[in-house]
Amino acid sequence: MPKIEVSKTDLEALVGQAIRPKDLEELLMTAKVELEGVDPKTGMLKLDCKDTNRPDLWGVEGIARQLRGSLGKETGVPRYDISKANVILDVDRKVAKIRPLIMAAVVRKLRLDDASIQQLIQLQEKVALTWGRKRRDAAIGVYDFDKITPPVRYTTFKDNEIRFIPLDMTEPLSPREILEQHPKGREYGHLITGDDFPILIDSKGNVLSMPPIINSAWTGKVTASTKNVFVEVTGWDKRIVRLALNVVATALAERGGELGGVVIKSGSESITTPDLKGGSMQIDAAAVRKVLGLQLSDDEVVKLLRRARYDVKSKGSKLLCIWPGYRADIMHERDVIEDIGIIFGYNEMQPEIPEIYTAGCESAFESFCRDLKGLAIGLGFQEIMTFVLTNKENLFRKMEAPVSSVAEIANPVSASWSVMRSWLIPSVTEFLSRNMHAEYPQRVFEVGDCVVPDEHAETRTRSLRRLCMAISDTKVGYEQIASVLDALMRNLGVPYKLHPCSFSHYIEGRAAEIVSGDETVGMIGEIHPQVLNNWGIEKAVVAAELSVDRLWALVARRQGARIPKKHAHKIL
Amino acid sequence: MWCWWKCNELQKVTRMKYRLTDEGRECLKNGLPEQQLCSLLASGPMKIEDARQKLKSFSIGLAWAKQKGLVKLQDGKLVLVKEQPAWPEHAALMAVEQGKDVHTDVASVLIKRKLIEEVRDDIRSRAEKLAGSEVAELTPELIGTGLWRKVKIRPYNVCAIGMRIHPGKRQPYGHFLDGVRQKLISLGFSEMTGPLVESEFWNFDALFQPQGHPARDWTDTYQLKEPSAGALPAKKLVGAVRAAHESGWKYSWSPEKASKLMPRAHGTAVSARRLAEGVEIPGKYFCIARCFRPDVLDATHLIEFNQVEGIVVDPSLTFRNLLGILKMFASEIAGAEHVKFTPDYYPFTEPSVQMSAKHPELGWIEFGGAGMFREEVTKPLGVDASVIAWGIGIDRLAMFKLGIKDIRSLFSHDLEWLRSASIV
Repeated sequence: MPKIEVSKTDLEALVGQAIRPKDLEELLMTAKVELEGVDPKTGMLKLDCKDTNRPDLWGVEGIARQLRGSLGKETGVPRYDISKANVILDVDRKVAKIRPLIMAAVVRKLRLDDASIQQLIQLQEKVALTWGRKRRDAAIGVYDFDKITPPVRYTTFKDNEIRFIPLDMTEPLSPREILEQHPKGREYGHLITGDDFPILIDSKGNVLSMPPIINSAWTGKVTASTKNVFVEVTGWDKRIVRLALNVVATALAERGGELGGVVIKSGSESITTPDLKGGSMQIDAAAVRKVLGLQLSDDEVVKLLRRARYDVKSKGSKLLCIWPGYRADIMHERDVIEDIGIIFGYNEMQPEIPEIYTAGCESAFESFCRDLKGLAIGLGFQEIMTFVLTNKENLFRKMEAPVSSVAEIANPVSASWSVMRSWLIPSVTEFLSRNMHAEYPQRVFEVGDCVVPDEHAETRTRSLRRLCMAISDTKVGYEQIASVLDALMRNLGVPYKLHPCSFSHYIEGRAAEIVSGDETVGMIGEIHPQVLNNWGIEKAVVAAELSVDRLWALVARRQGARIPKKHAHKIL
Repeated sequence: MWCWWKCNELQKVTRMKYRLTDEGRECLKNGLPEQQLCSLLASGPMKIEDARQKLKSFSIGLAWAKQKGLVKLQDGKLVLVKEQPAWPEHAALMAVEQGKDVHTDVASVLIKRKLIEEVRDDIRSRAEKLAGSEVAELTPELIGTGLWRKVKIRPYNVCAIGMRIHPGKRQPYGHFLDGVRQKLISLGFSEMTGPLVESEFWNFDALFQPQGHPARDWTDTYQLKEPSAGALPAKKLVGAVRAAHESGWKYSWSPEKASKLMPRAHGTAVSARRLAEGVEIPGKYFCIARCFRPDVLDATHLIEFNQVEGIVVDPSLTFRNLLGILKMFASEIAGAEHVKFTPDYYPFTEPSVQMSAKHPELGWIEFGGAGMFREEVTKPLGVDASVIAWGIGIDRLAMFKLGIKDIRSLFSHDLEWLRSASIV
């Protein structure tokens, strides 16, 4: 899902070979990356990273690492040497309730340029945005290590206790001023609550950053001349913070940096990061063959696994698969099997239609709806299809109808689409209002879904299917729609009566309830001229709306007795 | 243009059939009243009173005789002016009696005198009257009597375009969807249905999409403000889903979050419900589901759309079977011969795949997503078999099939377009 831009030259340099344009797309797929196009100005490849659970594949360095495996240039789990941890990061107990976790790494001897810095920033942003849930679960800071004097301390300050110049600014500001004035402060300020502000500060009192908001301008600026960097990730959950650090640290290592450990001291506890130890799982080669439907030998399975960047240890018929520490997506043997399938190549597999016999069957209700449409068409009505989403203005005010409760959207993109319709006549009336130029008479119908609140239902709502038929013409009256209704009901075999009734959207004295037995199944009448005025319609409209669910119940009840339950779908 | 046939109605035929009235029969037997008067006067003038005595219809006879100038009044007596050689009216009465033709002038006088009356033609005679003529209309009489053989049916200007009328018919997209439905049924799939508003439980949690995790972000979704939360299903099912989430994704699963309501964002929610309700093994199920996702409505984006969703359940299923089924859909539904499979990611399927089909004009188009449901999905729902699942974005296929450039036309508000759209 994250979309990134990478340079093809950079990708090729990291993979270690040129990639022919015609092979690029297929090759990228082995990293679940879709080539969406090429930016015509910059020549950058536009990539869609599909695996939302693999942040290691959201940057060019990680993609290249995966592709080297796909190509067989470098297989198994990548090795990264981590030099002895001689940098100390003290974690103050005060951060426990503010933002408790921090992990860090040092990367030395980097040779950065503007392009690689751009890639680093992109990776950092995508990981913090998506994996880190907009920095809430993981926020990443990268610093010029040469400007930092360890040990580094992760602690909190009150607003009046500290000031520093944030990145992209020139004057020192207090933490609260940063939240109020800096664009990043305004964007992420809600992540800090209370009067204590988390601060990362070195032994000389130079502020590194206020996580998860902003770096300081002094230490937190990485340029092409930066040789050694300090990377830290803060958050709440060990798994998430650890993975984010491993993804960024190993990406820098892919650029030729040497990883160095940092000792994180928290009270009496002390851990060393980055911890690149991966995970492992025992799988059965037979399971691979069964799931994929491929006749692979155990050896072939092992080779495919190594190209997918696993280390494999055979234990009899079982294979112990070990994956790298920058992955945390494997929960089940299926995850490993998919990786094998991807390296094998989905398009290399012979598709095979399963030989499973089943008798197909249409939903009895859908079949009834189709028959109903057939009748409406026979009566000369054009079918229309409109949206379920609408707004209260159309549903109630323009119809002069009393406002009733409807399913309402909490996050509408536009006020026009903010509720789910509870009846159909407004949709059909809106349709007619947009066709004043079209030839008359206009006879239209819709069989469509509506939603009404129902506190007894599991979803507190019920989906209803309704039928609306309308005629609009210079001269049209109740009798026309009444005869249409009669033809419909006679052909459904549903006896009915019309009971005079008042509806504010119909003309008084020209509206009725459609009743079958003791059940109301719909309404019929001439649309009130005020409603026509509201919609700007200049011709009379007569319309009937019926509950398809109730009609279906009546028809099924009548016919059900004669029809074996198994064939109930064939009713009508 | 449309009225040309109205000007060519069946030609009127004037020859009619008559019969005698009682009075006419009397006149045929005894002669017309004026005829009787003339016979009476043939032997010499006669007093009016005497003539009146002798003739029953003396006044009528006198009136007609005078009008015809046959008699005159002279010295109180009636005198015959001239001998009448022939009585055409009487001859006409005879002709009527014998069923022969009568000249219309005479007939109209006799009708006026109520001596004869018109007889409604029978079918055959009406048709016979058309024999030899040119007719514009093939009438039931002509057909039934076989006399159509004796008439000429006037040729029309057959190049004239008929009057424009609008039939009742299916909405093109609705019609297309029904075609897909029938196709799937013919391939052995049974239809499933589900509600438009779902709880997050069915839309997300039952499908192993962790709460507050990027894996739940693969699509934007709407939420309901009112009502905002629903009920969760049976405790056992909820417990199994919770356990799958907590052990797989390592977080504390929230039932409150799962009970939030939303307009269904994908048809897979219907598959999840179906699996929980119980499926036949082997089983094949599909649904055509209206789904909702927030977006700005424009020529390429809809805020509600239809997804064709399906599952196949059987312990023997393999990933290659999934590819086989997808390829079959591509050819059966999209008419595409070439397909391409791309690795993809969905939290509920593993392996996951996206299919593209080659369109003859537009090249490769993304067709749908699919995969094998994870055990973390199937086990809690109570299914102990492989389940392959797929969702086809049917809207784009419909656009190609219907020749539509603007996706909004699928739900067109343009009546003229709907009327003119061909229904194939």
